[in-house]
Amino acid sequence: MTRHILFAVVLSGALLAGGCTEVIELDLNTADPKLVIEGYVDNLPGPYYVQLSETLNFDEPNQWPAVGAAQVYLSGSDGSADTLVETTPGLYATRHLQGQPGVTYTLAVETGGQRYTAQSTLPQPVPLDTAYTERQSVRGGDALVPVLVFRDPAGQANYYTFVAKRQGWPLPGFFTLDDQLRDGQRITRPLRSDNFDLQTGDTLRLELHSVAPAAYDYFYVLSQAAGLGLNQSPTPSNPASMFEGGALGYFSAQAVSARTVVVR
Amino acid sequence: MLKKCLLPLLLLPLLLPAQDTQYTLSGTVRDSASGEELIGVTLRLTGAAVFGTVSNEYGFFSLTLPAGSYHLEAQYVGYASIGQVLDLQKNTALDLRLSSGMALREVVVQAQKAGEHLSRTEMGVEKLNVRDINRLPVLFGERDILKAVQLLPGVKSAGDGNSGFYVRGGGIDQNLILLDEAPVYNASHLLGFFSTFNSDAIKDVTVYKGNQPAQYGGRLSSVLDIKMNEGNDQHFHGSGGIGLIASRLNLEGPIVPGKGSFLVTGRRTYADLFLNLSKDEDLRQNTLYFYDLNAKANYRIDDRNRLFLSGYLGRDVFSQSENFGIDWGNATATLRWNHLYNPQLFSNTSLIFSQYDFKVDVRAGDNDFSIVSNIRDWNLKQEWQWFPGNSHKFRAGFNSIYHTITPGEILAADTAVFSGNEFQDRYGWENAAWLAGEWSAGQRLKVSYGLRVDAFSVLGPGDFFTFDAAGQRSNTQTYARHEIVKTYAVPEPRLSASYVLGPSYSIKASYARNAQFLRLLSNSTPGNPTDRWTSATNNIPPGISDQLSLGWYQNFGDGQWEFSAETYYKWLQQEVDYRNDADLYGNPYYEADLIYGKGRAYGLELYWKKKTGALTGWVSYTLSRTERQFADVNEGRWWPARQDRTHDLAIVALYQISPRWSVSANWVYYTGDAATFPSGKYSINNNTVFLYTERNGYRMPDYHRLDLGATWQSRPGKRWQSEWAFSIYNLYARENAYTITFEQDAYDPSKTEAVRTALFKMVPSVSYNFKF
Repeated sequence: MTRHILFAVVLSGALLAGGCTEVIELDLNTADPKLVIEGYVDNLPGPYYVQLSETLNFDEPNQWPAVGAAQVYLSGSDGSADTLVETTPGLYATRHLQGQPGVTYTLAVETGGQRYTAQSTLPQPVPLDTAYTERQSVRGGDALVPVLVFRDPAGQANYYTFVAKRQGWPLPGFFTLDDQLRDGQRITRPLRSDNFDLQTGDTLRLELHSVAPAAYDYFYVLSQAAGLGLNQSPTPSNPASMFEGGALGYFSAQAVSARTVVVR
Repeated sequence: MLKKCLLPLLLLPLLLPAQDTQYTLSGTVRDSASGEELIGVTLRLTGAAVFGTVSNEYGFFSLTLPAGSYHLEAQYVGYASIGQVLDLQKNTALDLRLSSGMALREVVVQAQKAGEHLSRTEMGVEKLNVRDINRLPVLFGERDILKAVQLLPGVKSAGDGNSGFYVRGGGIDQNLILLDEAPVYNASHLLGFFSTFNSDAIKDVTVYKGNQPAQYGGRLSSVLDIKMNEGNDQHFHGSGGIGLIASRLNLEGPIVPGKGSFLVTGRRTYADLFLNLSKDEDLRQNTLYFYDLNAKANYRIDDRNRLFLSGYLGRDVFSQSENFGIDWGNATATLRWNHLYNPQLFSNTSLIFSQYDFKVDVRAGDNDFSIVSNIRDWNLKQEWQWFPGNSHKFRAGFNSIYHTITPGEILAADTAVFSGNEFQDRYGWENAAWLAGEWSAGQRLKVSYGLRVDAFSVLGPGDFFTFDAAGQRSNTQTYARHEIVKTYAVPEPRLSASYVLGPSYSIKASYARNAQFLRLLSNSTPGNPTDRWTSATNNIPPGISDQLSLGWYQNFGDGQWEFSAETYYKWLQQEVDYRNDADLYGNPYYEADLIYGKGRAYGLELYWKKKTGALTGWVSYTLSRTERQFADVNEGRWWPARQDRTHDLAIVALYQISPRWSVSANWVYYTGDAATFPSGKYSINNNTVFLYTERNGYRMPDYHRLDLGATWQSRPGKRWQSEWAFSIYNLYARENAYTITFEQDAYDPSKTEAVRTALFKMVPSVSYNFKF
């Protein structure tokens, strides 16, 4: 919506006068590196991964510094517990823990003399009815768009995030939905993006994640900021920290339903 | 407190010792050629003593004086002043007619030594001369009163080429824009680049920067009071213009000569025709245009009764190929009845309708949906003006508005189906009553005082929610039709005084409180047609501002030059901001996403103005600070609001080279607005995410721009008058930043870069205007 309107602003400007864009040098502040934690546990067989990295200054290349040699623990309210092992620098994997719906998990990370913890409860999975790709209009023309279809469980608040993976790599962008306006309905959710660049024959894994409210809020804020691109809100902000101790990033216990589709 | 002081003042005229026999001189001041009433004409009567008054918004004046012989002078900028000898031996009605004319200006100069500028009590008020506005250089040849207003001290543009404005640190929604008394909720066309006001139809523009008199209320920062022309009541006339992107036509004439007149003005843009020339198929499928229509009629039933009917209709239409369409617009209608009970008591009754609506259509495969949203007011306003003597004037009135708000429910287009949920309309009943007076205490001191009480009742039917501290809904209560959910009442004292210190200088002080019950929720810059209007609710309190101003006023060079310096300090309560994860659209519980804080704004405004001669114009400079404080933002510290702009300078010059050629120039410079830029970045799920350390901790680059204009007029005296107007906007093609965004480098995804978007480089334009 906002995109369309702001496209119109630029269009009016361009139409009337020929607006122009230019890369400029800005003297942005530098900030001390901060820890970034990306961690999840789900209802599928493990291992589950926790990635530790650090922030960079705006003008540095995107070579995210890995944070190695940290102590990473995952434990569940059902008494399960695991100590993660570092498989590649900054990437920690569980050894035996198996995620279960209804269990509250606690992630604890110790590094640099600090301890960071977060909790998340794994929701019940919501099955995908179907998933496919089709040609739809996105900003800047038509594109192949992944579509996920599922029925929202009635009578409860549900929160979703969506991920499309190609050859194991998530496609860019953040996609979220809550059922506030459509509790119990059959939901068709296209993942519209003008930079997926899908080609006929690509194999995609489309995932529906049932997530806890805190994870939904986290990705919702990112979807607002990232999806806007040109049209940033006047007061962009960081998503609220999910970690005691104040690290950036998220910890999400999530129930995953997935389908593999071939782009046609 | 203040109320207690007021009552004795009100009674003063009744307690004054009976003087010699007194008679009332009353009447109307009009333009001699068109019959248009003139607002704010200064009348001065010199006899045994000197008396004065000013014509009101309907051109009416009334003054009660001791019997005797007087010399009457009437003065008005741009008009020849008139003088006549008058022997007042009975109540006298007088119709005054002033002639406009350049050649006669020198006469005016002579008469304006003791400028009304010095003695009137109102502060922070500016009246714009429509004739001057029409000579300013403009963007695309479209004359625009809102852009002219932005050249005044204390009024700041909301962005390059934008007609939105900020007054003394207030938001765009804190300006009450009235067109013939009807509030206009969205005063811009084409996404902000043009105002909804076609200057062909406009008679008078007055802006009050927070210290508005008691008859105005409902917004915190300013009132922009725009009056439409009445239409020529003597002869049929037409005028119009053909410009690069729009054409205009204005027709006016008598209904019954001397008794009634009408006016119809229309405008339509055709910029989208250029889209068809584009090679880009996608561009060619876009539609983008607006039109507006003003109409007005008035009829003088007899000497004591007059009716006015005026209306406005404007609409913007935008569609992007076949996927997306939006159209929006305002409609207003005002029916007014002027009644003179007696030569001392003037009354006006207005019935006003105002509506703003937008409609969005999204057509994308299975996900078609439309959303209709509007805000609609029915408004009854009654005011009496009483002129009991020569040193007192009073106003009393009430206003009752019934608001219906159908919320703008939008889901992001990439968030799939709109399920067809209906959102409840919201109803509000806004009532105000005011009592105000103006007292000339001798030749030097003048005091205006008033009390306005504003009340807003949130009405059912509907479900109203309560939220806990964490923003979770804790209770829902259902109210029946017309049931009162909550009432807010705010007493608003207004006081201002002027003291003339010497023949050419004066000081003034003023205080005003304002309350605002309707707010615009917007999380975009500089504002979208789909921004959401919300009324006060059980959760959303009204905003309140208190403003204190002090000023120094001086005339130079026999009144050719005016200078003023004003300072203000404004305290704001219950300013609105949003939680970080606020979802303002498609969310019936949006109230939980709002947070409230304090604001403060202060500044110094300097204004030099040259009013007469071949060279006229002004220099305005504003030094100001606008800050906000919210418990949850920037750790509770004060932070600069987006519209915080430290320095703002405008230089405007109009030069009459010859009777047929005039040129104009303006130069605008301001330091950058506050902005939030990233101070770092990190990676989440393979996406680059920016790290923000502080709200509005950065500044946009400085803005400056020079515009030139020239106007050529055909030989006067002929029936068909024509004029060519040339403008160059942004002469030296400065690339002023409209937005700065942060993106991945298109060629090297491992890098991020800051990208500046500039909209208007040098834009020349020409338009042809005619009159017959």
